[in-house]
Parts: sequence; C-alpha cells; structure tokens
Amino acid sequence: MAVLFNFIMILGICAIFVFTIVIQSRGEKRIGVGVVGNIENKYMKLGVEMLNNMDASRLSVKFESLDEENAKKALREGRIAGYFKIDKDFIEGLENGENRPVIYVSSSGGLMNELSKEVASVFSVLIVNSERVIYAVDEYLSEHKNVYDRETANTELNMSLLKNVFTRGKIYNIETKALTGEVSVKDNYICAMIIILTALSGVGLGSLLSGKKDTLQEVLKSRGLSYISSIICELITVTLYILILIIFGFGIFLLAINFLQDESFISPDYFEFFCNIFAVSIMFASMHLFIYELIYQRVTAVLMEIILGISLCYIGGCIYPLSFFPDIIQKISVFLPSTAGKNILISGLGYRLDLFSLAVVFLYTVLFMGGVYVLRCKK
Amino acid sequence: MKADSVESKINIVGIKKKYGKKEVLKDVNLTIPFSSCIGILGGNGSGKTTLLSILAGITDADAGAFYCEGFDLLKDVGRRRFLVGIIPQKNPLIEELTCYDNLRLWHDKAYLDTAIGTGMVKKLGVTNFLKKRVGELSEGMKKRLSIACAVYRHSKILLMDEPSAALDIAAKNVIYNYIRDFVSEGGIVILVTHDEGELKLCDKHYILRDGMVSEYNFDGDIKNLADMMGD
Repeated sequence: MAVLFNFIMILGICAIFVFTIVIQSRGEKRIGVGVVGNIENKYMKLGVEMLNNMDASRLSVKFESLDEENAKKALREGRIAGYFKIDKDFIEGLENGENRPVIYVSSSGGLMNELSKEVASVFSVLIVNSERVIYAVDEYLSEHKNVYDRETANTELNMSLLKNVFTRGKIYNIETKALTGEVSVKDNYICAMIIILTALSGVGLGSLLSGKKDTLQEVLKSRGLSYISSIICELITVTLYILILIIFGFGIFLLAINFLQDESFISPDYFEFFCNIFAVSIMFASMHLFIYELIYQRVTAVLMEIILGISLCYIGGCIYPLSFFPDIIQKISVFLPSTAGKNILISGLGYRLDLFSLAVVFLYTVLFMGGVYVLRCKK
Repeated sequence: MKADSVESKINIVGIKKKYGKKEVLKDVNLTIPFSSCIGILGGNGSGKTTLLSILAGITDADAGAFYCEGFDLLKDVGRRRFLVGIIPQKNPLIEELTCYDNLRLWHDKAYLDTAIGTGMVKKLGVTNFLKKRVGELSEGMKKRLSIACAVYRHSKILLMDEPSAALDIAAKNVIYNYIRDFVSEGGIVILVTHDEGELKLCDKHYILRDGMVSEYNFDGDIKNLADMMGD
C-alpha cells in the first residue's frame, strides 16, 4: 500500500508539472487592453500603433482598437482586462487646452485588473502630457508668429514626437531577470520535481524502516554482521527504492511531455544526469534512514517525513523559485540538502557544476549516516 | 585461567563491563563442560542479559575472554558465529515473511532441507507451519522458530534468555525437550531464567550479583531463591 501511495503521488505531481509546463510553453500571454474611440483620427491611430510597439510601463500589453460594443463583449469573455474610452472630441478638447479625462473601464478585482489599471494610468499620462507639450509649443508659436508657420509646426511637432519618441521600440531599456537565474524554467522544474519526489519518498518507507527489529540487528551482529554493514545494506536498499521511483516517475513525466509536445523535452548528458540523480538519492536515502532511526513510532516518523520533506522543498526553491524569497532565506537555503541536491541535478543538464553544492550533498550524507550509526550503537 | 586445549569445556574468563560509571560485570569467571546446561539467575539489572550479549558478540566486553576449542570467541568472530547461537527474549523474526523464508535468512538451502527432514527444525515442530507468515503464529510457535533460526549446523553453545517466558505448558515442553536433546548431543546451553521449569533443566545454577558470579545450590524451591535475590 505504501509503495502504491508513493506511485500515485508521483503520477499526481507529474501531471501537475506536465500541464503547467505545456501551458506555459504555448507562448507568453499578454494583457489585452482595448482602446475605444475615434481611431480614424490620425493621432489616435498612430497612438494605438505606438502603444503596441512600445514597452508600455513594465508590462507586456497588447492594445486593441475596438468599438464599445465589441469592447464590452471582449471584457465579459475575458479576452481583455479592460478598455480605454476616449471620446470623439478628445483631441479637439486638448487642442483647446481642456483637460479631457481618459476613461478606463475594467471588470472589478484580480491581479490582472490591478496591472491593467497601472497600464491605464501610464497611458493617460503619456497621451495627455505629450499632447500638453505639443500644445505648449503651439501656444509659443502662436505668440511668435514670425518664427514658424503655426499650423505646419503643430502637425510636424506632433508627428515628430510620435514618430521619434513613441514609435521607438523601447523608450527605456529594461533589464529582465529570469526568476530562475541562468537556468531555464523548464530545467528548474524538472530538477525541482525530482527533489520533491526523493524528499517525499520517505513517506512510503514507513513499513520497511519503521519499528525496526532491534533484536534482529543484535542477532545479525552476533553472526558477524556489524552495524556498519547492516546500515550500508539498508542504505543500498533505500537508494535503490528511490532510484526506481525516480526512473518510473521521471520516465512517465518525460514520455508525457514528449507526447504533448513535438520536440524532445530535454537533452541532457544522460550518464552525467543519472550519476547526479544517484548522488542525490544516496543523500536523501541517508536522511530517511536517520529519521526512521531517530523516531521509532511509525506514524510520528511518517509525519516527520512529510513535514520535513515539504519544508525542505519549499525553502529549497523546489516549489517557488528561490528568487521569490527574501535575501536571508536565499542565503540560508544554499546550505539545505534540497537546494544543494537541486543544484547538483541542474549541473547534469548541461549547466556549470556547483562544487559547493556537491560538498554539501556529501557532507549531509556523511552526517546522516554517522547519526544512524551513533543512534544504533546507543540502542 | 588458560585457554583449554582439550575440547571438553568452555572457559569464560575475567569478563568486565561498565556502562558509564556503573560497573555491571566486575569479574565474571565460569567453566562449563560440554553436554551441560547451566542456569544464570539474578535480580533485575544484575547484568544477566549483558553477559549473554557479550558472549554472543552483540556487546563488547571491557576486558575478558571466552575460550572454546582453544580460541577466544570474543575476538574470533568467524568461529563464534558458527559455534554460538543466541535466542534473545524478543524474537528476531521478520513478521512479513513466512517461516521458511525466515529460516532461509539464516541457513543455506542444503542444510535447511536436512534440518526440515530429520534435523532440529523437525524436532522443534516447525515443519508443521513452514508456509505460514510469522505474523500469524502464536508466541510459542515464534519461539520455536527463533530457536530453529539460531541453531547452526555446527552450533555447540546456545545462549537463551528466558526462552519459555509467556509460553503455555505445551510450548514450554517442546522447548525443554529440545534443550535436553541439544545437551545430550554434546552441546552447552546457558540459560538466563526465572522459570522454575527451566531451572530444573539446569545441571548447575549461578547467581549474578554485584557484577560477580557465584554458584548456587538450587533445591527446587523458587521461594528460597527469590528471598536470596532480595526481589
């Protein structure tokens, strides 16, 4: 039953990751925002084109020209987060020095709406203030008639401003930082999933490791099998158990992904990747042995496995990327077995080998095994 | 005492053991001839189980030797595992396996087939439930199976810690008969016991008190023994 539970858990986690990654890989979604107004006006048309070309604020936004009825329908259907409503006399009003508001209509609540409200405020500021600049210049020219032909200058200034400023691909440079650093999201997820599997594999080891027969171990010792030998044998058994779980779980995951996508999902150096999985499996096997040696009661030991496994995976950046956490947590997490294990696995996917993480993995293995030996001798 | 070159007895010499500041065994000396059964008695915490553990090689002695056939079995692990079998108070069986599988953990197939056919497995009556899971057995059956697992083909010394504790009379009789057979075939049985029936099996009795062993003349009256141990 315990092995079946582990298997079902693996399938569930794999399914979640498969769908997450496949959905993500179908392309980044942009926030859709509608623009309702008289887009035949050359400024409006140019303005919408300008907004679609520029990096609007910090967001990935797609502006769509719509009439009001279609905009309302699109809002209901969730195709857009909201729409700007610019009345037909907006440009003329600005020309006359009036402060016409840009009305933004959205559905209430949600993160997307907050983001699109921010877009709306940026849009308003850009359009309105740019027009103010233009009409300030226009006023100047009105007062200095001899300097330039007002009407020509007005048109030229508008066109020049829109063309040279707002139609630029980028108004400002944006440095994007991937949440997972140099590692691709996909590779990060794969390694995180393997770590979660190995960390939680201890739950299924309850029947094998808990309530161990101290008497059996004593009799084995009398027959010449030292505690060290029996511990090594148990370590080999548990490591094999974890490796089989990973091969089945990971293998199913790879097959599922390759089935849903056309291209091959990952192309690691399989030998190196397997060696890294092996090293990580040994470390977690020693951790499970230590927990079950420390806690005699099966229920308590299994609960400890669940709590410890989930905690290590959470703080180790296996559920959310580490960059989500405060700096102090990120600094501490490099010393955790889950983080070190994940870094070792990542290096097997063609990234740089992290020697520090390798040392951490080795140290934890030694510490856990030492702890098992000490506890067993004490009994 | 020296290692005895004549294969007629075993010598336990100067066994000492300390746990922290507490000296459990101070200087234990015993000479036991083959084809005999001895009983070791003592109060709770007197060190009886510790002595058996040391002789079985489970616990290391601070000092002392255990000579058999001219070899110190405390140091000669290879020889000890063939000559000495221990039946602890709690059984060392794997409950999820069958009796046969448990026996196979300790014995090779060739020996086991013989033991099942005509040997000690048959004598202990374990052949009747070989295919049953250990978890389904009664305590008496488990104890008999434990003995069958502990006795190697070359075993000459059996260390038993209260072998018939919590067993019914029928189960006790099976074990008593086996002990008598083992002794009559030239073996040594060292019993740690409080059981009157087991005491009566023994040729000699020793009391372990204050870390030292002294011979005791058991007259068959357990009450006198209890008074003497001060329990």
